[in-house]
Amino acid sequence: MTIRIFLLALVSGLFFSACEKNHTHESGVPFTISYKATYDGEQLTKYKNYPYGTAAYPLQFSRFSTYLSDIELIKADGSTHRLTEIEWVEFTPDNASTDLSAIPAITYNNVPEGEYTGIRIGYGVKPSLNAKVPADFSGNHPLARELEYWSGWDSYIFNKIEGQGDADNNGAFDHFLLFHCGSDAVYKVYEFSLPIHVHAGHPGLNVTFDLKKLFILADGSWYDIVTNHATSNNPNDISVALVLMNNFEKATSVTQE
Amino acid sequence: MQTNIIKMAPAMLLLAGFVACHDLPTEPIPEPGDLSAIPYDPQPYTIKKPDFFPNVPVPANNPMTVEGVQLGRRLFYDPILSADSTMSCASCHLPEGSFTDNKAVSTGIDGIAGRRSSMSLLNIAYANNGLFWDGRSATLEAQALLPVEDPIELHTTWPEVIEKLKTHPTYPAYFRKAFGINDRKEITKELAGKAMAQFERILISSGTSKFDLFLQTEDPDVFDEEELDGYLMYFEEAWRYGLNLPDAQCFHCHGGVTLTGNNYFNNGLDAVASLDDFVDKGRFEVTGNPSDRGKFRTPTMRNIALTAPYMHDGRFMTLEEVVENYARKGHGVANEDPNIPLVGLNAPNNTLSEAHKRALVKFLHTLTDTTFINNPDIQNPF
Repeated sequence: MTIRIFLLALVSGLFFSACEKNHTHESGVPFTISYKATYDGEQLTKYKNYPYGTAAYPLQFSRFSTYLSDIELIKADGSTHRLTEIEWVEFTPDNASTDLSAIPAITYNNVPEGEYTGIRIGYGVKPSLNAKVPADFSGNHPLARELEYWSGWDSYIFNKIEGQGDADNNGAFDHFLLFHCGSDAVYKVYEFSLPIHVHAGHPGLNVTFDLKKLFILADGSWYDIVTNHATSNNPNDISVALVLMNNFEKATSVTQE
Repeated sequence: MQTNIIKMAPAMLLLAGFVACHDLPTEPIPEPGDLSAIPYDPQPYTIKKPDFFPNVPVPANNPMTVEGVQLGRRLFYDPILSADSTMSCASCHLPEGSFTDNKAVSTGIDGIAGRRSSMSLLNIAYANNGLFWDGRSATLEAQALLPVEDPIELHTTWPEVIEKLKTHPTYPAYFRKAFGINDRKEITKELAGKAMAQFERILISSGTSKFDLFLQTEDPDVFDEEELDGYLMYFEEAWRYGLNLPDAQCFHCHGGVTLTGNNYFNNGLDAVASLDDFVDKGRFEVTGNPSDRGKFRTPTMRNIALTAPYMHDGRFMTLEEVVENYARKGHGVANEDPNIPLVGLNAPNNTLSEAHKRALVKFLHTLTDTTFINNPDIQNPF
């Protein structure tokens, strides 16, 4: 009889401990990040004229997309929860019915509830993944995208910013921009400190990239995009790419409602 | 009556066994169309592809089977899909043209010319951003259904086609073997579309072109000097060899191992005064986005030498004309891709020379894959 009671207790204990484990696993909640592209705070619109430089000549954007790696929520004790290893965020998709930029809202599941003190974002494709090529992936994997890889660099194209300007204000948009940043040397990781609450039903984050801020240099001057209108085709020449990748930190804002 | 049935049983079993033992049944199947005597044992089909190609995406609701591919291949080549049984899918997608028809624009059964050129189906399985020049179909399964009812293509209706398939002496058995239907009444256009999509997914490069040999060996001696120059300009890799060659900007749109990025571009063909003036509005017809007017999906550059004439309307007869046009660097139209005006960057005057253009054309010829077009698995089975 004693043995029976013992076995019953053991089985019950195992049963409830199993339930407890599942409960813990399921305590994570979905957490959404809405990615936004703006120019001077205004939602980006393709082919819209934006003032550029001190002369405020018109500049238009036709494409903006970016890879992000190892997006992690940071806790006060320094521990992290990785939301995703790699994301490709496209603000100017081919299937859009308007030129207003998309606001991709990506939901990450099973995020442990709690209070976080910040978020860490890798800008571009982290080196361990950048060593791979699109053929290593299939289907809709972000890194399967063939046009986002430059074999000449042996690198994914971390981000694409394309457009055209009318730098001489003559009505012709004949100053073209073709910024395709890439290579391990320009991969950047930035942290943003803010209280982040992860709870069921609580709003997620807004991560906003302001393109105007990408082109403002540390001394407050505007980047000369007439002279430096394209990233180099030589991966050893990363000067233009570095300007943009360095500026992504201040061009990014993270908020939670 | 019962006795008669019992007496007939051995004969019926024999008949059933006979049907079952033949992979390609040619005997008419008796009404009312019960197909359950035919074995349904679909075998997985392994798509052959070069090792350096990515895995071929296959939708979960249409797994590749030997029987599905076999049925799809027959449907693809069978003029039964047209109203007057004169044209099939293959009429505009012939293997020798790398699954184009080598015409500026395709002509349907009524002799009416379409407005666009037939696109190559080579590596179409990797197209993940819409099909047709304007991307109006999301999947191969959906795409395969449209030309049948297009009034300037096969100009029939699916109910008519399905009726012909149901009463056909062999197709019901093929559908049974591919999809396990029990009765010919279960033949649907969706199943036909699935079968044709399965066939189209096997239209993969052989990996034996000169370009592929280079990709696998990275040995520049695979190319002659002009071909190598063309390669380096196409992919902007001259720096690797310390050469001073311009950027032709090709790979930005025709990139990756399949040499198509499945995106939509205005590649600078027409000097229109406004975007409204494009004769063919292209991608705009699908998205309704004004800035998509005049944009079209990039075709693959693989086997490009076999797919003349070129562009969505077949306006260029030769690759030389194509390269010459890109060398002019577009017309400054508002939604032109910004790579277009940069064609020839770093050349004297930022303009491709005759030698550069010649080298690009020579490189494009290294993309020819005759093993693919001669692959017996993709030829007309009739």
